[in-house]
Amino acid sequence: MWERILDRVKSRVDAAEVYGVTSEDMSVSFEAGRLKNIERTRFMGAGLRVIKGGRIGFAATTDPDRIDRLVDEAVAGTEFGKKASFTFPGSLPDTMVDTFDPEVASLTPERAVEEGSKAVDMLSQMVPDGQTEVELEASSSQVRILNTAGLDASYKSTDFSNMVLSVIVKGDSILWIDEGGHYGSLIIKTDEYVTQIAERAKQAKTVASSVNGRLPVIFVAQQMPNVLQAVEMAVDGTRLYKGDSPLIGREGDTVLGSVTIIDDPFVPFSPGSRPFDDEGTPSRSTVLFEDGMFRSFLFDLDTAAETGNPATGNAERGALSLPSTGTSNLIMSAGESSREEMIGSLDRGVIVYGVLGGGQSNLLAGDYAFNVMLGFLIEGGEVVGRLTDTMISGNIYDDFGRISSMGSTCQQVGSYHIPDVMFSDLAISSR
Amino acid sequence: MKQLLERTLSAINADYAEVRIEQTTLTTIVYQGPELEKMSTVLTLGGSVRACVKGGWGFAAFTRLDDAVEAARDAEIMARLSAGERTVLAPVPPVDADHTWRGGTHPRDISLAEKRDVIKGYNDIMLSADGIVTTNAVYRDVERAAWIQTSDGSSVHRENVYSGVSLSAVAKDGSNVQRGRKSIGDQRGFGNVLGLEGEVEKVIKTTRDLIRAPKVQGGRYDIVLDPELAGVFAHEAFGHLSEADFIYENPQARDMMKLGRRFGPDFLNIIDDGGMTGENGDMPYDDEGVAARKTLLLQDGILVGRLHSRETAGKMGEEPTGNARAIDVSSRPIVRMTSTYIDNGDSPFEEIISDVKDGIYACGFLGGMTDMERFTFSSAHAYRIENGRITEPVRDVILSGNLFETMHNITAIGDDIVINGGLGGCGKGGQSPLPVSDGSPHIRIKDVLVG
Repeated sequence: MWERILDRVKSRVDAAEVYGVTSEDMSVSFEAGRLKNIERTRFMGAGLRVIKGGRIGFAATTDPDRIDRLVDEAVAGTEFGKKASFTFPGSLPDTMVDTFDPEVASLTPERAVEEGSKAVDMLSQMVPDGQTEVELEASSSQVRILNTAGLDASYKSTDFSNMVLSVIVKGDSILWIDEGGHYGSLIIKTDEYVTQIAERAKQAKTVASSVNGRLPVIFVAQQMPNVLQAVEMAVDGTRLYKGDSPLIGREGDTVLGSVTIIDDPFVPFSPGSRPFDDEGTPSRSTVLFEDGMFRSFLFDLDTAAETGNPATGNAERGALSLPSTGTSNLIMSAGESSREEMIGSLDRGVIVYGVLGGGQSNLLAGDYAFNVMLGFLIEGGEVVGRLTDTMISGNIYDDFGRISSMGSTCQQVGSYHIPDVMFSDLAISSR
Repeated sequence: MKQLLERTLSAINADYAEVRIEQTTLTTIVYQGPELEKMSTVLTLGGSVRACVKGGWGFAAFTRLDDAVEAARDAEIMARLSAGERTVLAPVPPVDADHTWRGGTHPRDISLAEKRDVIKGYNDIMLSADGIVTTNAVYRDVERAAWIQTSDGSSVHRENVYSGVSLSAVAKDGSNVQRGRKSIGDQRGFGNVLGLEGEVEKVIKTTRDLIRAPKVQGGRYDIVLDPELAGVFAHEAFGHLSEADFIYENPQARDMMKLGRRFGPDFLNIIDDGGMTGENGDMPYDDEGVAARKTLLLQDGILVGRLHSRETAGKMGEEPTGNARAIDVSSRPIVRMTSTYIDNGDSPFEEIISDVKDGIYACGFLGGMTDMERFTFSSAHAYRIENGRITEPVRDVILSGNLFETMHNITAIGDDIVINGGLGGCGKGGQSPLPVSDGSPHIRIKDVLVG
């Protein structure tokens, strides 16, 4: 179908690109401690981006019977579409990255049910007052990009996720404790997740007194992507092009404490890994922050051309949407402490396992405000009780200067490879 | 189409099965600042089959219609694999419905250039306003045609046509960046995006107010919510608790949500109604082919009803309500809201404000989340209320608290209900954004934590 689209449109435009995705997804979910649903989704769809008279047109479809309409809509869009200041890339160098695990692609529903049942039984036994939910999902997909500059490239990748949740309702109190992981290969860690949930559930039985003021705070690695949200927005080349990133003109300045963060698309079997990005630009690693010093923005073809920079291979898109700039895998520097040492070192502090983001007017400037969904008060080096109705707020650029300790190992949290992080003092309020 | 549905259905041997096929056309035009940032047309076709055997569900989705019969077999195999004890679905009378869209001008009869002119017009007004440094203006329309056939004899053809705009203006002062915004969208036809110059002016005024506004002083306040934010509160704070899939298999949650329990003052009424024609949440038949109905959730502050799929209704021994909805044909139906609102009370707005000595008037919804016990909502813009009068604008008004306490703390309900749709929607179980409407008159809540 992809060649057919390109052939059909070629003569009507100056340049064209077809981004095609074929995927198959299987998931098994357990609700209220019982197997509830098994699902399989097969998908095939393509986006058609064309350039004519220096302007972009775009249309996408899953419907092979509407290819003529697809082509007409894409061409029509070039009458007043966005100005194209880039050209499509031609053929690619061979790059090898491990993105496809046959074990994920061939995972059967039977095996997933078996693994899920084990987790359900274990959690129901360890946390009998909770309602147990477990989900395992495996998907494999093939991306293929063809363009009129001669590119015809494809790669296959797999994704696997496993998630365990316990919902504990007592009176009017609802406690959600979940653990999970998202990988490029078949990594089933439900045993570990169940053990952690049981530990949290035990600790949560005691409610802590309210805390107010400035206190040391440990964010576990799983919560760090929420904390980094503002930084991710700020390094996006789109924000340079639009002129609203707080990092504009700050290359070489120390802005993020002393941490190093790298965008790295080559980590084997990590969900953000790929040999080339979603426009066919070869992958490469980019140092974003080095010892706290801002180094580089990330670019796709459009933002690179608009700002006079080389593309960094950071275009991402869904099967039916235009590309935009995004991170691949984010690798953060580690420190020297274990979580136990961090907790043990605190006379009085807080550890955070879950947050609700509140929406903040100046997110791009680094302001944050989190409602703690699952967090604990630490006293005398020990967890003493669960925090309720507690907010943590501040500015990430100020607060990264307050990092007092980092975990000795980076944990894989989706496409993030990130340690636990302890801040010396953050603003906390509760009642 | 009917033949394909029947052929697919006949390939399955299960306690219950349904086949859905859907064709959609989606147009998006986005301006960012003076430039047209994105324009796209997406044409989809796809289907899915869901089967239930002894209480276990199998679901298979596809984009090639040739795969329908194979998907039916897959769905049955997976349902058998997840089979448990028995299938319990609330009975519904079979329907044979052809629901054509009955709005005004169909967006498909409007050229791309004309749609572009409309959104560019609003964007230009915002850009030329003093103090506005950049903008974001989105036009979107979505046309969905769905065919649903169930093994117990229901057959539904359903059209939904959505159109709307989202307008946002940005002002900047050093590192302080403030944004005024408004999203408008429903199923009334293309006319709903015309003549919005007054709304554009409001967005500009809000943005200017925000950039000169001081940060709110944190603390506990009496809060007056405007209809938009109060509607979001009804949806987020109470609506999600009313979705029976959260409680039907959890004895503790069932206790918490026992019918007859008091949740708020006796002048509080909350309703969900899938039959509100033309609203964003208008869904005359759900994805199980069940007809929409008006469901009272809270009556005089007392819990009297909840939202159901056929399964949750069957297992709780209650009536199905037509609330099994899927974001698209490749997702399975789950319990969702439609148009959810706090019903009119009898307090005029002036009276609601006049009793407030030192409070906040919080308007619009910027963002926020709830875990069903606690909530955190940011208002899009806000003002202080001093001695019964609205005075200066304040920014960063983030409301948080415990849902149950906060519901009881509602002290007044206005008589000026507004139903809001918009371009966004509701997210649940990885399915987002589902078109819904929220509505409410102005309401007043005492003693809310503002950060």
